[in-house]
Amino acid sequence: MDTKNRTRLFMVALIAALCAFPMVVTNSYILLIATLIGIYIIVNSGLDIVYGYSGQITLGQAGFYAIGAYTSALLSMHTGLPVILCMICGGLLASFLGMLIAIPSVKLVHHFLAMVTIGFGEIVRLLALNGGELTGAADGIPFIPKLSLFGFTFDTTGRYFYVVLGAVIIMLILKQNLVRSRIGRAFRSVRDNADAAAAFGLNVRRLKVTAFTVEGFYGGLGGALYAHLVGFISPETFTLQQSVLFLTMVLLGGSGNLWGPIIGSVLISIMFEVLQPLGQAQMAIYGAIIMGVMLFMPHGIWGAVSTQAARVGRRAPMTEAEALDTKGRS
Amino acid sequence: MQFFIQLAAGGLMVGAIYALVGMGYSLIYRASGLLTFAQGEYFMLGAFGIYTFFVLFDLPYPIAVIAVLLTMVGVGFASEKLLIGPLLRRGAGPIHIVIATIGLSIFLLNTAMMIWGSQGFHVPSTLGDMPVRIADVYLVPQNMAIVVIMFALMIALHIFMNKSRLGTTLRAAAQDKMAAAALGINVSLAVGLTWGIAVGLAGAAGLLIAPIYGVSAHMGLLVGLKGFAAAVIGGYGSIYGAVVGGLLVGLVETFTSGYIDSTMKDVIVFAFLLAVLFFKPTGLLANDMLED
Repeated sequence: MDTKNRTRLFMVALIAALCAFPMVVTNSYILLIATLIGIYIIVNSGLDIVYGYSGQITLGQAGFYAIGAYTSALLSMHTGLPVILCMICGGLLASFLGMLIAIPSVKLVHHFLAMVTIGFGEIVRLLALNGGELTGAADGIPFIPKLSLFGFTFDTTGRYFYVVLGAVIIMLILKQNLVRSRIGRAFRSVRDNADAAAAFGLNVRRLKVTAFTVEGFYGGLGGALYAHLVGFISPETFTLQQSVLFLTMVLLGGSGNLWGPIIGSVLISIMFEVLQPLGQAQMAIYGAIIMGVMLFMPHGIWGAVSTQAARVGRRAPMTEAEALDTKGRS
Repeated sequence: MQFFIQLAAGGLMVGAIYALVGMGYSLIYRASGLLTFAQGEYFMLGAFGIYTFFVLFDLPYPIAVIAVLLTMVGVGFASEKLLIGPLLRRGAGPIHIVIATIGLSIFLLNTAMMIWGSQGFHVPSTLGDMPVRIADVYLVPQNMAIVVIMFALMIALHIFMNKSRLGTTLRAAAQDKMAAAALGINVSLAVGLTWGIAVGLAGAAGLLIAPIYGVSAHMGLLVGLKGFAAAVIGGYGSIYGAVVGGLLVGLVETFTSGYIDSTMKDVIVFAFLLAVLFFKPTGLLANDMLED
């Protein structure tokens, strides 16, 4: 069996196992965490397109997440639109705002881009906080309707899990198609050497704007899925810390590939649950983990694993005499 | 008119705090071309420092101030030696430094909450808490002291950096590390010291503001971001730029809360920051923040 078939078989087995998950695990808290992990995977995969593939820093992910959540929640409550359409609208609006914010800011480098995206996220949060009756200010929006499709309501976490699983699969397939396309290669060339990319006739700024637009959709859709999962949103979910959390997940897992954001989302979510009893120390440890990852694993877990795999697969180094010796024997 | 002057005085006080934090950003940027996201937490540690030495340990105020400043310079030096230096030696890019300092700020914030708790603390002002009346305007002595001290620190920093031998070596190490090393300057020590001074400035801002706003673990986040806004608006990397930017941010903030709506002040400040980054990203002085 070649590698491609093996990967495909592994994928099918993984999806089958995930489909069986809500039937085996009935604890609704664990199901909630699993569903949240799915939402994080969507958001982080979008983030990975900007950070991992295009090499642009962004700390405004919570802003897109908030726009998606608020848009979908408000539309579903104040208009008669089906929830699924509201979710897509949330993603599209976040995507549009991602484009708007990207157009003037892609000329900036690292820290300044980081600060623009932080400023964007903070403005979104502060507007939600001061939005009066529309956004419910600090109290947030309760009683957000559940998703129903073709007369079937996804009213329990176990049922909603499948919606998120489906969304994860679709969004990951879209991501893989995007990054393997001509645009995906262009993203990587912008990341590796923007000057060379421009010299080859690529419109670097437009590519960066494209990356942010795509990221916006992933973030907004994630936020919308979150709003209809929990049924309640408030500004305190969409803080700068949330953006940092997203970026940390991508960095820990490893950026610029399919598996990194998935591994990071799963591991950090589980770590938070495990460290929960420690209270304040939980967050201090989290801070220390971020520093440790940056120091010892700058390419994340997936980066470390694939480097190891490459090392194992390579032939053992030989001296010239050894090489000649082997040749003589064969 | 009286209201206007009152607001202006308040704005200058807040602005002086942002200016001190912003000067730290600019110093670090000049020394190593980097950005730390932990300035807000250093500011918070400075405030807790004065609370600990002055209120808890009951040391005389001048000694407590010196103790806080020395501690903060040490913290800055240690941050560079234990986190930033090793990261750079491992070939970390600017984004890794940004994220690592965010990790550091989360670590410092929560460690502070474990040590001192999450409630607020009061630190008395040595200048008295009663406002003084000057021509129809009431001014709190501590507020005026903050503005004066900020300018004094700015001038002291200018003299130190440009006239003293040590300051000159720091500038040389910031400008060209290889050439400075070839001339026998201990670049590693110089960069560490610059971080120490930058963190010391944030700590000074924290200890100055403590009698006015009180001390709590969460006081740093917004001040850190606005100090950065100050540095960017003035022209990133310039000491005077940070002062001008800081005062401007402070004035924008108080006038927004005075004449428009106090809930909108942070939105306006961030919108101001974005506008500067979009339309005049070089601030008041030219530098190389632009990619092309």
